[in-house]
Amino acid sequence: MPETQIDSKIEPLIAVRGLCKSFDGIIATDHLDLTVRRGEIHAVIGPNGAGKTTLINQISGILRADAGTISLAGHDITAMAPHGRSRLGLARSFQITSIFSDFSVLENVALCVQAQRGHSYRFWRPAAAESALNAGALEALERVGLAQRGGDNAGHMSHGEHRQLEIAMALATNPSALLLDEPMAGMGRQESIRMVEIIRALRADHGILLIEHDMDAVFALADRITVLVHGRAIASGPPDEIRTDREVERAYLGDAGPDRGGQADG
Amino acid sequence: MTMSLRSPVSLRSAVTLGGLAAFAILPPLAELFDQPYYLDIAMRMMCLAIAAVSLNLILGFGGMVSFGHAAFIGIGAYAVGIPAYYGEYSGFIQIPLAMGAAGLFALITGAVCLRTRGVYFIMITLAFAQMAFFALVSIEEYGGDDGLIIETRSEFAGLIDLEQPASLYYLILVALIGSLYLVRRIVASRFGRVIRCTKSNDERAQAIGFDTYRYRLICYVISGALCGLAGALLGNFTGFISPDMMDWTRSGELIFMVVLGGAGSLFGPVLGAATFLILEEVLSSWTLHWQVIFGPLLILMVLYGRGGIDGFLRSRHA
Amino acid sequence: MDWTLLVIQMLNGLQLGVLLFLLAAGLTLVFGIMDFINLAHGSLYMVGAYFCATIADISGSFLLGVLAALPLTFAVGLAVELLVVRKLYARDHLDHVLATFGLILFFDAATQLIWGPEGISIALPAFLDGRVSLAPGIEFPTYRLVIIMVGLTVAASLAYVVSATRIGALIRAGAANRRMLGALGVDVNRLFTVVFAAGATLAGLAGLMMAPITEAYVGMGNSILIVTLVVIIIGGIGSVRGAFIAALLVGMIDTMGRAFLDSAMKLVLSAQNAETAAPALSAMLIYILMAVILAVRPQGLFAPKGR
Repeated sequence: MPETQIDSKIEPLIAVRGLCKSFDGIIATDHLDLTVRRGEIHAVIGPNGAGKTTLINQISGILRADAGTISLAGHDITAMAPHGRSRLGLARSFQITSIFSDFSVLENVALCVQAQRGHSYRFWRPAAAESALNAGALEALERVGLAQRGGDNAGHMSHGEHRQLEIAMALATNPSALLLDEPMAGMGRQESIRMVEIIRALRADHGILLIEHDMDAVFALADRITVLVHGRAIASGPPDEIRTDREVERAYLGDAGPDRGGQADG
Repeated sequence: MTMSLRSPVSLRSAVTLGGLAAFAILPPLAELFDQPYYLDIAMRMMCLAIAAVSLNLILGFGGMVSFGHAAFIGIGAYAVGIPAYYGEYSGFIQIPLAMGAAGLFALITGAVCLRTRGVYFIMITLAFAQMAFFALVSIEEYGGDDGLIIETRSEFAGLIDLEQPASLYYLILVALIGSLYLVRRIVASRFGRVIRCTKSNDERAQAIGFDTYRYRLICYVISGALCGLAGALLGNFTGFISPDMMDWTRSGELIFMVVLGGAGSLFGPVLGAATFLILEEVLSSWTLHWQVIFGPLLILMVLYGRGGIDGFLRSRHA
Repeated sequence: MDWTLLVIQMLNGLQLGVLLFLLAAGLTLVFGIMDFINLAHGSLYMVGAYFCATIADISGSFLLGVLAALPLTFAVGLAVELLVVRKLYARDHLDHVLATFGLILFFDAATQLIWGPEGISIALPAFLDGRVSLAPGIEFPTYRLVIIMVGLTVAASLAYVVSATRIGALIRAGAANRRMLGALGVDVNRLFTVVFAAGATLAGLAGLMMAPITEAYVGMGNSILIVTLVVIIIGGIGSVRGAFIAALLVGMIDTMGRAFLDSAMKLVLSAQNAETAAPALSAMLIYILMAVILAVRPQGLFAPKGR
């Protein structure tokens, strides 16, 4: 419906305002403002230690911010527990693979579906027999290309498959907003290309905050890029702007001179 | 599939069914060979097995290492003993009271304990159990240190007469089978899946939308109530109810039973309880100071045998 | 208001607190640095008491018993660490709990096997056995005063070691971030062994100091271990300062509670109700305190940063 579509374009899906976080005097997030809209991929890049994962941890609720507000689809979630944020439509993938390694691949994803479908105060019927959960899980697995691995133990997979599972789990909770923390971490060329396609296909239905070091992927996917240094956004805008921004060059490459021809591969 | 709840007949299933069958035919055999002593041991085994099954629910499947589970046994036993002291012998009152009181204690202490993790959780459960222990010891009215003797077992309006050893025996056996079945269903259900995933990765469980604190608390309460039932049955069996039933060394023994049998397996706790009692019997027939042998045995088990009996059986099957 | 009684009970509370600190310090350091739950800490308390009692009995001198028991307890601590504990650092807490539970059973049974089921009493030398007059009308047992002074001295020494020496710096670093220690080239194994054995010795000291009052008996360490656990939970695992403050707090509240709760309750309840409820409630006091503190600060009062 036209009205809702326009609404969702005006009201950001994720809105971070004035976010601050420090650890024992070291500033990890410095008065950060950031928005993510539905249908866009907003990439956050920056040198190591810039505070990117800390940012995602605050948005997903693992860390409590010292100051500032976070809102999701208009709801103030600044003080909300992680599970509450998930219920409101926020999902994340983890930089270091964080799955249920004692379960099968299908069960991992089925759990995510289960979390969003009704309550789990059911003590009698076997969950593995619920076809709706399995169907939802299979669908998510298909989107990332892991459908044939459903019966395998999730702990015994290759690194690339783990990263795919991470995405599948994030998708299976049927979120509107996705936080992807270095989905391509440790992946080879082929796998990265595949992952880019998977993420690109997600753009239409979600608002995505993407943290990545792989610059090819970032520039291929991002609608907007924010550059984070020492917890502060030093630049924010469309990829072309960022590519030629002096401040960004200096942050990433050091004082290496003005004319670099737009080379932004970190 | 990683959970072998639906695996075909295996060595483990054979042991399970064989074990239950052995318990079932023991009373007539004991009568035949005039060895009532074995009935006594088996009853104690089954009561402790129910307690171990309840602990396994939170420990084996949920990863919550409670070092205070004996408190629930004691509460369940006193829920039989205290009404009996006042002349109330109805099992219809005592048994629900046992499970309710134990469940309530689990709710109140669990609400605090489950806010903590790991080391803290273990120590706090231990501390709360001690609190219950001291509370009961200081009530002179109910025997204090010396405990209570109950003259009459729970009465069920004539439906069954627990004064007959065989009746009590089969009641306990039914309770054991019921507990095993209940835990089996819970573990496979949606609820059980959530509990198991909190053991595997609590942070991720929360991230996907589960209020893990609430689920674990409910699980803790179920476990406590079930253990209270074990206490009520044990109290009926021994006829003597003392705070020693809730001593923390009892809690340690329960953990041992669960781990020895195989934490996170369904029948493991029963095997663990049986093995522990047999060990205790055998070792104490050699020496009064049997724990001088048992202690190091326990250490060796921890160092070299962590899968427990169930793990051993699995490896045989593979 | 009976001021004499109040002062005496406060001193008793201080004495208990100091004793708890000796136990808690070793326990919290072992937890904090090695992440190891040692339930058998109470057994070392017992071992110290028994060594002292035996040597005092043989030699006729309590002081000789004290001096000999300390290195002997240290040796037992060393043995336990090298033979059992060391193999378990990499394991999870459940394994620690079970294994040290096995150690408790072993120590209790072995002690009974060697020394028999009867407790052993220790006679104090005359100069320790009297009473001291602290103020007109207030007399306090000399020995308990000595315990307080020894305990406070040890606490001060420990504070000095932890804050001003190299090994203390290693300890504080280890409590905050264990992995870094190895990366910095510290002989982590040796550090662990020393910390464990030192903690055992402190426990033994506590045990032998209490032995003249309570007798040395089998299982004497078990109930005080649990109170010690409450202390380090309240104080924050890994913090010696937290252990000190929590120990004094718990010692005071427990002692004063047992002494004055029924009188306090009689102000609001009938005498009969107060008399029934007070013993149970005063036994539960420190656990209620623990629950309240945890509700507000789940990590304890002074948990070291980085946990």
